Amino acid sequence: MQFSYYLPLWGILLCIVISVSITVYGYLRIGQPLQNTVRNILIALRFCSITILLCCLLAPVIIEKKDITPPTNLSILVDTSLSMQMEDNYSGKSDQSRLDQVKQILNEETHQFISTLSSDYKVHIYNFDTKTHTDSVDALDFSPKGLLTDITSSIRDVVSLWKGQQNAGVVLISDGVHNASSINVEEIADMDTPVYAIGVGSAVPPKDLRISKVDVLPVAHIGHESIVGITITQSGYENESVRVALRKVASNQLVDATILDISEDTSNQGQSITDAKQHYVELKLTPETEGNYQYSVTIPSLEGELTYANNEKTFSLKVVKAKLNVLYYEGRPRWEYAFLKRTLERDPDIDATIVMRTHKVDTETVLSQNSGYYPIESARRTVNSKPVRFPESIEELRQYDVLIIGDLSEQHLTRTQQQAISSYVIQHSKSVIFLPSKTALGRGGFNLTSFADILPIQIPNNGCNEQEGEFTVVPTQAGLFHPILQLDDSYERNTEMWQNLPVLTISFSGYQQKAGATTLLNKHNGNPILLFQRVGLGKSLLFTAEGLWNWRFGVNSYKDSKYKTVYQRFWAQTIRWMAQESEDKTVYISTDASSYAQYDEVDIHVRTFLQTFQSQDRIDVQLEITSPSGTTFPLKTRSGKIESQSSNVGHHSAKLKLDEYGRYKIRAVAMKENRLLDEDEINISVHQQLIEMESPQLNEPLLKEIAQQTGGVYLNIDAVDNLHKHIKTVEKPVFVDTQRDLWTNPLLLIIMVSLLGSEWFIRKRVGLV
Amino acid sequence: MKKKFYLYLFSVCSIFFFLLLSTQGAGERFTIAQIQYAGGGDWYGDPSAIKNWLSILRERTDIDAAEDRIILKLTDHNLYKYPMLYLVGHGNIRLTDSEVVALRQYLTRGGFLFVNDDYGLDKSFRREINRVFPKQELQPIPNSHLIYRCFYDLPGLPKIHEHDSHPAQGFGLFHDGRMVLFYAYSSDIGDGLEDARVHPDDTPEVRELASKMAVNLAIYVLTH
Repeated sequence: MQFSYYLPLWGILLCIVISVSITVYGYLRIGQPLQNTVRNILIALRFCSITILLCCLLAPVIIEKKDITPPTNLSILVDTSLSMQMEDNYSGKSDQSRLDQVKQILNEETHQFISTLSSDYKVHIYNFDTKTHTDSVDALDFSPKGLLTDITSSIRDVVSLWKGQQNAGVVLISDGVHNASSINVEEIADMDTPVYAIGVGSAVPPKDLRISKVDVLPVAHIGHESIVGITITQSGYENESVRVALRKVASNQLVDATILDISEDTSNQGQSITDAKQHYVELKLTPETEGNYQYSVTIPSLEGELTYANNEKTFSLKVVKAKLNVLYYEGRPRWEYAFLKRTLERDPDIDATIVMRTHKVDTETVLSQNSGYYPIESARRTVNSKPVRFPESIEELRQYDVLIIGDLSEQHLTRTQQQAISSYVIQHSKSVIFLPSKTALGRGGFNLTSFADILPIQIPNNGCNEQEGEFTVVPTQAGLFHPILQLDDSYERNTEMWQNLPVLTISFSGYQQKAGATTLLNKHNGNPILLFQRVGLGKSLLFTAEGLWNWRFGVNSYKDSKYKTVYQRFWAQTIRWMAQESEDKTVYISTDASSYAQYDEVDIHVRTFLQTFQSQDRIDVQLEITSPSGTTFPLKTRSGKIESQSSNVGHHSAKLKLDEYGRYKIRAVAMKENRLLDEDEINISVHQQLIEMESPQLNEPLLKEIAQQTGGVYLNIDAVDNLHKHIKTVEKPVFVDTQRDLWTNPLLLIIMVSLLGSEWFIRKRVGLV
Repeated sequence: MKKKFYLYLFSVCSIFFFLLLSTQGAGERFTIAQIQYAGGGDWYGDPSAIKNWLSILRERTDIDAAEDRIILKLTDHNLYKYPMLYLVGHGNIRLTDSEVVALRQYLTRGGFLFVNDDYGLDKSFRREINRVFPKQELQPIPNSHLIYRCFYDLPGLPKIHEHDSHPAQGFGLFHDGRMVLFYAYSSDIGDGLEDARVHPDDTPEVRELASKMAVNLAIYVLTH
């Protein structure tokens, strides 16, 4: 007991002494005689009354300990991902769906599970897939809708929900199918909350045959074979063969097919808990026209399959013109050849095939064993697989976009090859660049060939005159505005650069320019150096000078770094311009894959390419997305540099989350100073997210590991009634001190009234009143 | 007197013409520039080697080769007219800092250097080339490399001149997938290319091997 109003002990004693003294003094001063006994009783009664009054004035209280221990929480997490809709009757486990089994035990009317737990804990029931859903939905209304499962995130969600309060743990009721990310059991263990895992379903994998993966580059090239890598997974089937077919969706045209024996595992991957067998098969397609196309890979539906939805996968393919195929045929070793070869091989947009042949074959040399062809290695890692000989027929020759003919004599080519070159330009709308020197422009050179007609000049019978000596070149008016001679965006700077280029060293004269030929470059004294002519359906370009390699090597002595890439730029522009049959596209859009699953993120890349090497700085690329439901919305891009030799390539990229399945259309529009430059579009196929059905069997090892690592236990759903016995007590009692007032107790008043009443009664009896 | 005058005039014109050729270089004709370096070594060694080398190229290949070598310092403003350099010597090489930079730029921007160890060059050359490419080491060129079989099929780098018992060994440096330097160690291709009277001990067979390797070198550089 304590007093609310603090008074020191001496003060209390003083008060008592004063009150006793006054009482004794009062009763001693009474005039009439009293028996000592009566007086003492009266004094005692008065003393007690005053003492009680004094106590009450000091407000006495009693301190008591009160138990305020809160209830212990127990969270029950119910897996409501798609795999919980599975019925495990194929393994004799249950003919109810997994979720229905769970609902049955959660139903308090028919099952004691919840009520048993509720007697000791405050039970919270949540459902989860990729996260814990905290909205108040009755457990009996849970439905299996989640397309992915993330056990780690879901446990983290519920632990943080009740953080700081007493938790008995988390009861995880799941089939253990985790597929949203890689599982991190250590992270769950670090949450310091025991997880009691209840496994639902059968651990036997269901019978299923599915297309797990389709690997194909999203961009294919016309006339080039594309490989479609298909991974097929099966479980539960023996001694079966299936036909894997690749079709074009629009026309349902069969592109390629193969028969696959699915009894053997060809994946060479270790057996997982799924016991599924993987098979890899490759199909081929060779697109013939440009555009966006959809293809589908299908496998047949086998009896008893878990689902047929994963027996078909579609993917989109953007078909574009291939890398420029360039064939360079040279007649002798020279610097012109060496520097051009290096440049062609290092241009990322050119697939160069380079051959050199001599007609002076010495039997002692290795050339004699190879019909005069020099052995040449490519600087690229991917060594050209094409034949290293000049094609014999037009069919072989026309696979090249541009042909470069070096310093050849008439003897370097058979009559058939010469006619093929002529036909290549005139009838097949291709282009030839002639890079001759004294052999080709001499007496036994091009003038004797059957392709002399496609040259922009007429070579005299006795050949052209060779003139040695350094000279500069000057673009003609036509050349100054021609795409291949644009060394800079600015007209003035371009003119200046041409004036300052290193000199050339050999020129030829004495020829006659053909009527339809256009001169692009002149020698400083006026002789044409670079001539171009349209011939039949194609084009031919001719240099009548030698020493262009100085534009690559000689510029190294220049201080202005702008000249360092002149040669590469000049050849890149020349070959691209020669290769184009019509105006090339300026904008190219591509994606990182050809097929996606719902909720995947797609990387979109837009490359802008300007033939005239204009600055990319002010090019704005806008993306417009049309979703499968028809909604159109813009998407922002960010620009960035790409590693490329060509400075005229710009790069923009964006990321898009695919919330719907079906076909997305992505359109890129490039603008420069509010002017439309070009646009391009690509389609991508997004299939329904079916990963939940890929390995839907009960993953007991995972659930057991989670339970073990967190200090919980694993139970099968059949033994769920025993769960309460396994849940460890974590209750820690909580007490607080409380005060109770004593002076307000009516007993004190009654005692005091009784004392004073008794005193009054005695006084009345002895005649003092 | 008149005859003397014409003879004098002819001599002056010849010298002028020769000087003109040597200052302009060989134009489009393939030639090799010999490096003049400091340090005390005989940079001017093998004086007839390049001339003979070019002559062999004219005879045996389609290469339009010039008559003779060019002599250059690495800091010469005409350096970038000659994509192939020749360095030879018996003694010490010492490159200045600006020559180190110039050689590095030359090789990484398209040039090629053939180094011929005349015996005694190895130590100082390795020291100096380490200054040029401090992050790279000379790589042994395997006998299967195309440089030994791009024109003549050779079993490897031939041993031309015997100085000690060390075997001939080719080393290279590469940049952006291209061989930029070939170092013929303990082989002495240069001696084998010199006029026959310079090294009478070298047999015609050995001199032929030197010629074949020299042709292969030029062909390889001009085709890669």
